Amino acid sequence: MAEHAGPGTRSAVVDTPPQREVDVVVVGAGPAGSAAALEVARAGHSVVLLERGPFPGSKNVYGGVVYGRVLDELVPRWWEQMPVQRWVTRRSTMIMTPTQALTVDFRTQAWGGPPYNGATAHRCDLDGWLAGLATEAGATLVPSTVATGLLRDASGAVVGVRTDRPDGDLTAKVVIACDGVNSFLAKEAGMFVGKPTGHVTLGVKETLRLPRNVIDERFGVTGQHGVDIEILGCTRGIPGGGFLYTNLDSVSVGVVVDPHGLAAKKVRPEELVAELKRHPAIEPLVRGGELLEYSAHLIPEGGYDTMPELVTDGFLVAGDAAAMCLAAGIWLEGVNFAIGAGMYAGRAAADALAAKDTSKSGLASYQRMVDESFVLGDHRKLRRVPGLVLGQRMQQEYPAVLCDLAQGLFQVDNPRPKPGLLKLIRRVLKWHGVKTRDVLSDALTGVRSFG
Amino acid sequence: MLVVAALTWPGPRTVVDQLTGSTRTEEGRPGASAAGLAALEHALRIGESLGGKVVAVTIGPSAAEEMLREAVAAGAGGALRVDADPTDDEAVARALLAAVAERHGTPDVVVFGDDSGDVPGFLAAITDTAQALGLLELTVEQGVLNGLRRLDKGRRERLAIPMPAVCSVEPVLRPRRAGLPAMLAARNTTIPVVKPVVPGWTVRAGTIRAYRPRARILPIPAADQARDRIVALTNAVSAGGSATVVTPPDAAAAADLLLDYLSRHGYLGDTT
Repeated sequence: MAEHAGPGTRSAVVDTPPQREVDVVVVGAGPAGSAAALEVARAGHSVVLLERGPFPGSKNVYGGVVYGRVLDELVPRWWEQMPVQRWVTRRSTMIMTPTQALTVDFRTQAWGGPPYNGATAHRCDLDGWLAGLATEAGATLVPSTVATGLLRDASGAVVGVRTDRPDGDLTAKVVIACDGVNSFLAKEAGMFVGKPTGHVTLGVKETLRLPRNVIDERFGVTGQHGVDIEILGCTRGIPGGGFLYTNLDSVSVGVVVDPHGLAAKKVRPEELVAELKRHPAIEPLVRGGELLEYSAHLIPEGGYDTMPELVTDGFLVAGDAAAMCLAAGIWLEGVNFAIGAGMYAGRAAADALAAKDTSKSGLASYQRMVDESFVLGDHRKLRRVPGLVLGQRMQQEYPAVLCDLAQGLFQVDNPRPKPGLLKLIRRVLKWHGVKTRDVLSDALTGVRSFG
Repeated sequence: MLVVAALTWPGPRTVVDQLTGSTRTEEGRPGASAAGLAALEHALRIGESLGGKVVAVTIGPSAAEEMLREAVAAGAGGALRVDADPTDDEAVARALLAAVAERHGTPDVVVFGDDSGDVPGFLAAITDTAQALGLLELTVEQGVLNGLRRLDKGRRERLAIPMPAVCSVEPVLRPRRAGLPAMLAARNTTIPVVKPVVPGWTVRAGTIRAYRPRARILPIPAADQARDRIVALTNAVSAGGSATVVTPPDAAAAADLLLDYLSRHGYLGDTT
């Protein structure tokens, strides 16, 4: 098994001071880190929130929808405060080939009013708002500061972090690593030992400015209602998918792909985005957009089986750092899992501090809380889905099969009579060299996974 | 010795769509610019060399306090946010001066980034102090402020700058990195806010109207024909015209000549 990438340093061993400088250090002011810091601060403990960017959200990228229901536990009537671009009232799944597109489109006005469902947002606004809640509650936010390693005592328990600032050691009773995908701290703490590697995808995104009225007309929405389109079959067979969603006066379009597939096919990710923007089903939606931003980020899409250990002595892992990103076909979620995990990590840390036991057993309530909640419940239930969705047939063959099947259904070949559905399915499967047995096998896996 | 690092808060900026010509307003990136950070670093070094107090100052909203806290963490002895909404660079200079004077007294050295527009120039003029703008280097040697400035064709100009002085620097110096304990301490620092009373415009603009010279009553020239009377009145066909060549010895004498001419011809009215 390949080793996880990580820093070549070992943790610094320090003499544990009798008095730690703070109760909790949270590394990373993303959704997980801010939620954790908020819970710790509300419990009355001192907490420092370290952020490597100059402000929260400056380093973060996401490609879809924020589902804020989990915020009910943290911020009552959060929808009145959260910086939202648009509330998603149309949710589409598009399956495409270079010349075809089959879309399943769902719309409900119920998601356009309280208590809402999902929203698009700019991460700098969203993360700044969450971090602001934490600082209002008493957390100390320290930006432009990178946690470069862990501090341990002689017994190996984590007792703080080392940062890249002069005199940068900060001792704490609990360290919560929310330092994102490719978490150096979690790796340094040994949380990934024995876990499979290579389960990250690369997301690339363009944000294009369009007038608000143009977006409303093209996407068939009004007011602050918005659209999220998830796309399959737009990546030249490289495992992954695409997305297009509306902001208030811009749209974001991009792809999420397996970096190994990119390397094997010698394709650059921006070529895939350009190709997606030229597709006949997408081009009318993004035509004339002025490029505002191009961004790229790794996404931990490996699912439940690739998650690290979550708890050790004085140390918790949450959010992307713990691979808590759900990429399960029709469900593509991450921010809500990060907020939930961060919230539970903060609560567990506060409970452990109250009980004066920040050892692994003292912090074990975190594992229990995420186990019993949607955070690990959904991942556990859908653990087989990433393999299914990113598999060869789903990526390379099924999009064409489904598009040809739809074309065969809707094409009128008079004077020939319409073909029967089963006959059409058999014919299309044969065209694409897909065995019925494989289809049934994948369907069974799907039923088991989604069931 | 009071050294002031004047940091510019990036306010909203106007963006023009190059295709449609439409304009929109975008918020600037929060935090000090590279030139502002260089100004802070220069101010800190001057303060260390001359044993003075360094104060970081900005005009901006409460969001600008974050930038000032980082300046305090980096070593500034104080910070000041000026709550004002000046309309031009002169008003900015007056607001800064009033706020600093109210809290800390008269500054000996004020360092700006070179993205501060005409504010340093106005400040130097208002305070009647030396100005050295667009500096590459600003150092203290044996208690004397020295600057290095670019000239055309790659040349450099080295300046000995008398104090008090107003300087601006290019962003060629990387700011020091604040230590973690200082950062943590600065997070809870309360930034004082001053709302200075700044005099309004020093130049008052009146209503715009066409220029109408003051009427003068002249005796009627002695001539039979109307044309001859007009020629006599306007001196239109005289060979030498009305040009007068003067060679004043200096600018003050030139100004006197001009005023005398205008007065003689009735443009200034009764100045007695």
